[in-house]
Amino acid sequence: MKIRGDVDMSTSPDVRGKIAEAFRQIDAGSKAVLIDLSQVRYMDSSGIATLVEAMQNCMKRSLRLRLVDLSPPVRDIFELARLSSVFEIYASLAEAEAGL
Amino acid sequence: MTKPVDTLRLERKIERLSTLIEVNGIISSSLNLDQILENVMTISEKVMNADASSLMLIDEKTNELVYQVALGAVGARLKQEFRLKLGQGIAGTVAQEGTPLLIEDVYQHPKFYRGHDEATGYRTKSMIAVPLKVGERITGVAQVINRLDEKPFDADDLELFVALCSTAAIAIENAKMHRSLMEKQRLVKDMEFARTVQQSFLPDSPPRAAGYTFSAHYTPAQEVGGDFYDFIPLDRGRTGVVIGDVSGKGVPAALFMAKLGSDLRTLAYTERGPGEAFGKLNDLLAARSRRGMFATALYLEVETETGRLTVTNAGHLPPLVRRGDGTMQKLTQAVGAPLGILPGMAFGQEIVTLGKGDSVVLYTDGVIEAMNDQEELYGYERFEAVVKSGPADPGGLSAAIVQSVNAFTGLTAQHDDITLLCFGACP
Repeated sequence: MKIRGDVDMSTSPDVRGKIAEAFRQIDAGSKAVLIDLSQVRYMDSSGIATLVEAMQNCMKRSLRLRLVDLSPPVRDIFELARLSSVFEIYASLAEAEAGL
Repeated sequence: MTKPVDTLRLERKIERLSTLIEVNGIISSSLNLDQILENVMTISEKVMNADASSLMLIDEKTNELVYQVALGAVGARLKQEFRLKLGQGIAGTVAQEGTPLLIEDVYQHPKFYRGHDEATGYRTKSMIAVPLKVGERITGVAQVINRLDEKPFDADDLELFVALCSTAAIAIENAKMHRSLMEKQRLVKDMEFARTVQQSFLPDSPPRAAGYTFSAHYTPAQEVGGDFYDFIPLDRGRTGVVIGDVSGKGVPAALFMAKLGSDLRTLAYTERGPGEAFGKLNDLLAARSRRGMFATALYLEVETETGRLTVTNAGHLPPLVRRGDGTMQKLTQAVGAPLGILPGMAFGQEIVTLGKGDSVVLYTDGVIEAMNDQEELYGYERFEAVVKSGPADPGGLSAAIVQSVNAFTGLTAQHDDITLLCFGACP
């Protein structure tokens, strides 16, 4: 799935809803959930919490959560808060799909 | 003598108009949305002499028509399962085009969807569908279905229902506004509660330790933010200092913060150092994670006798050490992931020695992201410049930073809490 626009206090409930919807549509044979973040310019801590929750949900179902193509400002946030040590981050969809 | 048809029609019209005036009063008498929706439909059926009625409001998020009330024999069954896209079916078309529709025989209408009749066993014959409008904005569609006298609806019926719906639309809008106002008030109350909880476990005053000064500055945002800090008195002349920022705001963030604060106070005693304390704290928080909530935090222990400072960092902005000679050091060696995301994370430690005249500066992103009325950020450059040039004593340095931030932001309300801790050996 792909997220577009800023993810903050006001929009993260919507993103959370969309992710929950995506989870409901996951087939039994799926191995990973890929989230494209190339179109997200800003993300606050509530947005990150939404992704943390998604990752925790993935782990419960033995799925991997992979974040793909972080925009430079979002990449900075992830590096500053050392979120790169908890999330699997890939530069492109092809790389994220490889080795699944 | 029989009255001419025209007179009969006029009399009927007068009677209906007076009913309408009465109806206006009833519809507008409540501010409860559910009550109004029910009133509108009950009255529509009665006044229009209709067998059934429906009322759909536009969901502004999805731009779909959503069934709110359904009366008549099959109403209860229809109530739960109705959502229409604009342009879909008769109601969807009316919502999209904004013009009322009178249909004498719906089965002849190309837009009529028979699925509902087939599912419920009801036979829809004649109907009127009218857009609910507030100014030029369409907020929903009201429909009456099947005249009780079995005749199709006519132009007089249409005129009456349009008039009824214009009152209904305004009453519904008022109720919606009232409801959203009430929700906002509830949110404000929640926020006030969260603020009370949050501030109740911030320390009343910074600790005193021989030869050391500790100072704390905390400005809560208008909406409650997630900042916290604490000073923990330890044995052997050590003091623990913690600063952090919980994701999210409000009551859940305040409760998360309470747990983090009390768990750390215990772990600070039982564990061998800041790194191990954060390792255990992270496991405790991750085990009970709700909605992905996490915190960035710093924990430092300072031995006042030796000046030995041990730092561990969970994804928080790095501490700054301002040396007595005006140079500045960023402590970036021991940074792990934020607390509460994944269990089993290790947190390293960085050790430096503080001399007389050295100050340690801890801060949250509210300082860096403080905004002026031009929506510019205070930023690292201004911050670090003041840290380097400020007075040597921690209290004075803290005051200089706060003054610099305040001078920059002016009267602009801040979106995030601003927390600043300074401590060090008195020069």
